[in-house]
Amino acid sequence: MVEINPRTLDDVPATSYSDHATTAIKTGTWKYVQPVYEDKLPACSHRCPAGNDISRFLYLTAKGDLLEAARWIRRGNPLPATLGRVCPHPCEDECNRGPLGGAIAIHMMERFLGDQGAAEELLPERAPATGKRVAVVGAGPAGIAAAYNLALRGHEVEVLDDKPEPGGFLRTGIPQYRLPREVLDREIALVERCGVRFVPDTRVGRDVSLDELRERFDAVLVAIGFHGSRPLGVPGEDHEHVYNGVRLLERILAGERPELPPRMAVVGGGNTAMDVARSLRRIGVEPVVVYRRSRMEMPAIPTEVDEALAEGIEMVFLTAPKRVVIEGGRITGLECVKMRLGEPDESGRRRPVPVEGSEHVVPVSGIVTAIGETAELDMLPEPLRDGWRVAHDARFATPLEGVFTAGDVATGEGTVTAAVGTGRRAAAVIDAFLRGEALPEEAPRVQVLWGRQVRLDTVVHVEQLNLAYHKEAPRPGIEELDPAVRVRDFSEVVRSFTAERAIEEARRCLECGTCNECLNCLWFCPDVAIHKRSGFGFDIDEEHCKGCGICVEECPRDALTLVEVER
Amino acid sequence: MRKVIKGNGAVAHGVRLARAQVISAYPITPQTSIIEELASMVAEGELDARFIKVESEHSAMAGCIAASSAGARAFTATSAQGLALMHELIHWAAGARLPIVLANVNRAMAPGWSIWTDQNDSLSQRDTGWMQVYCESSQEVVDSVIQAFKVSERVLLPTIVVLDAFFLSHTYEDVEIPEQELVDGFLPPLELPQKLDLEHPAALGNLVFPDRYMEFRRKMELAQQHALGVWEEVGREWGELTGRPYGLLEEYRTDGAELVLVCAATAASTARVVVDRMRDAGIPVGLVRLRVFRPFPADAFRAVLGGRRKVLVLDRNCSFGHHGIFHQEIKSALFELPAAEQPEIRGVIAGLGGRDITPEDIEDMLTRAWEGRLEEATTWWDVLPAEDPVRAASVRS
Amino acid sequence: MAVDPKAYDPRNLHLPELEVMHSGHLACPGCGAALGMRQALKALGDNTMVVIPACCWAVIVGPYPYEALKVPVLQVAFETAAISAAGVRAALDAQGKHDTTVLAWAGDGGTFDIGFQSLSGAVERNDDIIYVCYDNEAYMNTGIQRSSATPYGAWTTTTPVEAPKAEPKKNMVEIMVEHRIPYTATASIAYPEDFIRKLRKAQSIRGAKFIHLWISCPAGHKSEERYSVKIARLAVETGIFPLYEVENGVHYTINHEPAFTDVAEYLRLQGRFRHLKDEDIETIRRNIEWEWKRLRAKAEMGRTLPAPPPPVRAVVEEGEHEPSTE
Repeated sequence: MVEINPRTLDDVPATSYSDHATTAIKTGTWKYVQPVYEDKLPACSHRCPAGNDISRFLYLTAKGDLLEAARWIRRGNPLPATLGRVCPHPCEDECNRGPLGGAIAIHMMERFLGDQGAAEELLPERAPATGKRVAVVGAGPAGIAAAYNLALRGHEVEVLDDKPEPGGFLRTGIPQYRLPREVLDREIALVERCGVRFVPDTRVGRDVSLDELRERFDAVLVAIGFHGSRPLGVPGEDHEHVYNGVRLLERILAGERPELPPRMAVVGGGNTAMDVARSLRRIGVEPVVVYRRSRMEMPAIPTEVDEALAEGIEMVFLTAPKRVVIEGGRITGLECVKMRLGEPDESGRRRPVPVEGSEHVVPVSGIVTAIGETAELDMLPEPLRDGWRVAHDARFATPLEGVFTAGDVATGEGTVTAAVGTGRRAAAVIDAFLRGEALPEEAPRVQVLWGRQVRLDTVVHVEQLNLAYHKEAPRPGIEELDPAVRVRDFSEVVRSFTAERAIEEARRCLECGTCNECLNCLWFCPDVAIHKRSGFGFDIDEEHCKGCGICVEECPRDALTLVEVER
Repeated sequence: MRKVIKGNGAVAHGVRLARAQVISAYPITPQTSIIEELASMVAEGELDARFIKVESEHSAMAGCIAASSAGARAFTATSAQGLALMHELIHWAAGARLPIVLANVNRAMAPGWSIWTDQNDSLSQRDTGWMQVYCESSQEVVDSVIQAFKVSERVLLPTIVVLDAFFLSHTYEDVEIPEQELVDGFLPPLELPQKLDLEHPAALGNLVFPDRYMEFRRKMELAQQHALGVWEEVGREWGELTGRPYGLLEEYRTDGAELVLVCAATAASTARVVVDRMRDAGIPVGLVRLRVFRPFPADAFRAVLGGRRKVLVLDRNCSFGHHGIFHQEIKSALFELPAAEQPEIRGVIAGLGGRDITPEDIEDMLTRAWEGRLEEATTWWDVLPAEDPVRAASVRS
Repeated sequence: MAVDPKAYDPRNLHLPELEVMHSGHLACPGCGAALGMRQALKALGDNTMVVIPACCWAVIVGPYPYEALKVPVLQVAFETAAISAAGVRAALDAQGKHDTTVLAWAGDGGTFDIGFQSLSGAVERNDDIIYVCYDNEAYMNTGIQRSSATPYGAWTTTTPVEAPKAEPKKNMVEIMVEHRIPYTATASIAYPEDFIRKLRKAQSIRGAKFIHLWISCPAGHKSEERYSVKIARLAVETGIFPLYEVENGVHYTINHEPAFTDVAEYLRLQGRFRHLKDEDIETIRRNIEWEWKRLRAKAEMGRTLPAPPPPVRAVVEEGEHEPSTE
């Protein structure tokens, strides 16, 4: 090598022979801005009530690492196989892939990954035992999610439920053709293997008091869900062939086959109405769905409505019940009035207004009500009751020290996914409480719990992406059992993705805001200042990065940010 | 092997015997028969070289520079306009310290067009860092081409081997062409210390800031100084192998000479005849033939000319505005002598653009010098006189 | 699942991992020329020698005693890139090193203007070199003076906004085509896979290869550093700089069908075009259309025209000499 600082001419080469690497020149001092790797919140995850780290598990899937993807999705969510089947997936409405071939079938991916792996492979690592004990009241999705997360944090958790088997609404309210019981059982079994003890047939306020629980446990979570059914409020609804939809569905799903009238009106437009109608169809009853607004306003998951229609279920819209027509002690019909849509109400949907003189009778011999559920809080002590919900603050803490709440009974959001999300968040608060840490002002957002650095104040929308790297690719079709076949029993309607299809679909994901090591930053750095780590991610060579920002601009997914250099 | 060949043929044989690996050249009269002969040698397999038939002299030198940088023995030949076109790269080759050998057939510069000999083309490259050797005969040409490679490769400076247009380039002479084994023993394969090398990647010619540049130039100058001894040593070694020794300059009948003529190239052959004739007539004249012009053998000139009464320098060139170039340089070298040893120096500029320098011319100029009849420091020989200096200098009539 | 986690993922660029360039070189931030060299050497590998005439890279490569590349570099005079590469080639062949690639890496000034003659000579001789002209459309190293690669309408310090360049850019690839060069292509730093494929193809062909690489220059184009790849991409997508290749001077392949994004998108990112009026932009639009018509016509002609007859003699293989005429 040439002598860099020669003392005599003897040590100078004959020409400007240059054999020292320029890395000795610290060109990084030139910069006034510099790139930083900074994952941001993808629009899909931002919208996910359960707080799934969607882009990350799709990234792992796209790499073909299905087990790792399955593990990742279960880091805080014990019910992916379930949610993938029953969630209305608002994430897909936000998906930035939408205009480029259709949203990623995120729910199908969640479902696929939820079904992956044996229990031994999926068992997450538990924190060392804390010796603290938590009672969770209610073995529904919120309770299970909270119990799982608390158990993983080293606490001892018991989940009490008045039903003989855990699962809550997932077991009693969702038909097997949407959620096969073995799927649910597998997920609950995994939660049990994480150390959660399910205590069946135990109702708080009947078999054990809340005060007793507060004494025996260091913390209590109340997650009892919605069980009450709202009445129709029309004459004749106390007839024996007017059924509470939730209760009727529970019996059917438990395997009972009650004697039912051959043609029944199902009043309502939500998921329960759809589940009831489709379940009736499967046990030989002919349902007619009666809904007072139009199809567009139906709160049910649109695909559920599509599937119901495909199964030949009759639906009458803009029709509200007025009176149960009873002749000779038997129901012969449901008198209804036609509705039209008026001004929007507080839910943003247009308010139905009766059309005068439009009374008519829908001929049925039985009626099922499915117009919404409410909480039953009467077994809870007074300070916890706050109208339809359990009183709580932004941390899910109730007025009683050490008592927290989650799920529908707390927020009334009405989806399994939201219940899981609040369960996760409440668990984080309870964990802090049990460790004697200062409680946060409010329960952390689920994304905080992902276990990776994500900038939560920036949601990545399509404008932030570099679309030059995202070619249009069509959303794959989702296969269903033939309607004529599926109405014969409670077999699952939607078929799972194959692994190949899942990987293909994961590769359609734009990984918004999420570094997926596509290497664009590295490839396009004119200064060779970005280096792949041996583990995940990249190091920026600060001594040589000149701060041009090409890496930031050429990142397809906005996972880098240009920031000013602090001098 | 003895052969009757032209000076240009002697160049080609020298290049062949030196086993040049890359030839990069462009035709120009009177150089053309050099590259024609080399093209034949390469085509017929007599010479295992790559011959890049470039589109200009500029590219000819660029090709040599690149090939030499990559470790190949490189050669080119040119003349006059071609050498001038190379000028940028003449600097480059020397600055890059590449042992390229260039044969330049001395030809006068245009305009007006002239294809005949004088030395202004090669001497215009005086300050580039190249070594220059002026040959008197075809034998010296073949010998000097081989020696030039050896010296160049030892001191890492390129050499121009110079021969007069037509008087030498196209004149057939009897030449002893050395055997290949002899030359192989004398000139080992090229091993450059610093070159393009995948094993030791480096950049050649990178930007040099002012704090570093001068050191490289100082090293070039030291190499030139060092080369004087190397030329002498190599000339001696060649003499031991062939019986034809060479020095930096050549003395002829300088014993007791009070007037010494200094000239270069084929004019020296003419001068020898005149010196013999004048010595016979009792006039104490002698001859010194300048052979190696760069590096300039100032010490050798002081040794041979110091203490003489008179020196006459014959230049077939002119540094317009100040004497012939050999004259300038010799005068400057002798200025270092003590005043008592400094001879009286006169210069003659003759034979530009191929004008003949006859024995009579040389005898006449020596006689005038001996008799003190050369009043001017420099006399333009055999040229129309200027009557009105202003009018004579003007281009208008 | 039998899916290799490192399996080919079509969403991503796939470039060679090999890194033949050091950091710490002297290119300006966001320099397209630096990026281009990095991509080029990824393609060609480290059995390569690089010849650099006067151009930005003469500085970028590092001041003595530093070098930014892990391969030998020869700096040469401005007008000599092609012949110098040929000289290195000859020397390597003379030493039996036939598998070493010689890359001439010159700017637009050194190619379109001062090095034009030497390039023409090397291509006509079919010297076995790869010549890449990295084109930033002006003399940037000397401070942004117009070259014959400067496009119509552009500001430079010698074509001030009062009199911007009035002539269209010289078309070097077509000039190479008329030499019947075995392989010539255009390329862009925004399409590295295409560039790398072309270099590797060039590497597989004996004889002269010319690649015209469009690069951005934040300092000379008066553009934001971070947009260097984006502008290069827009040069392609607007149709200003088509990506195509030509084999044996006749067979054209258009490698990328542009989106024909409005050229105003491209122009507005560069201060050198800021003075252009709507009618100037319209002129540029019309020229893009015309150039594409011409290119497609040539591509069509190449489809119908048979391959040219071979030259009188193929490239001489090593050690093979001219057969006797007897």
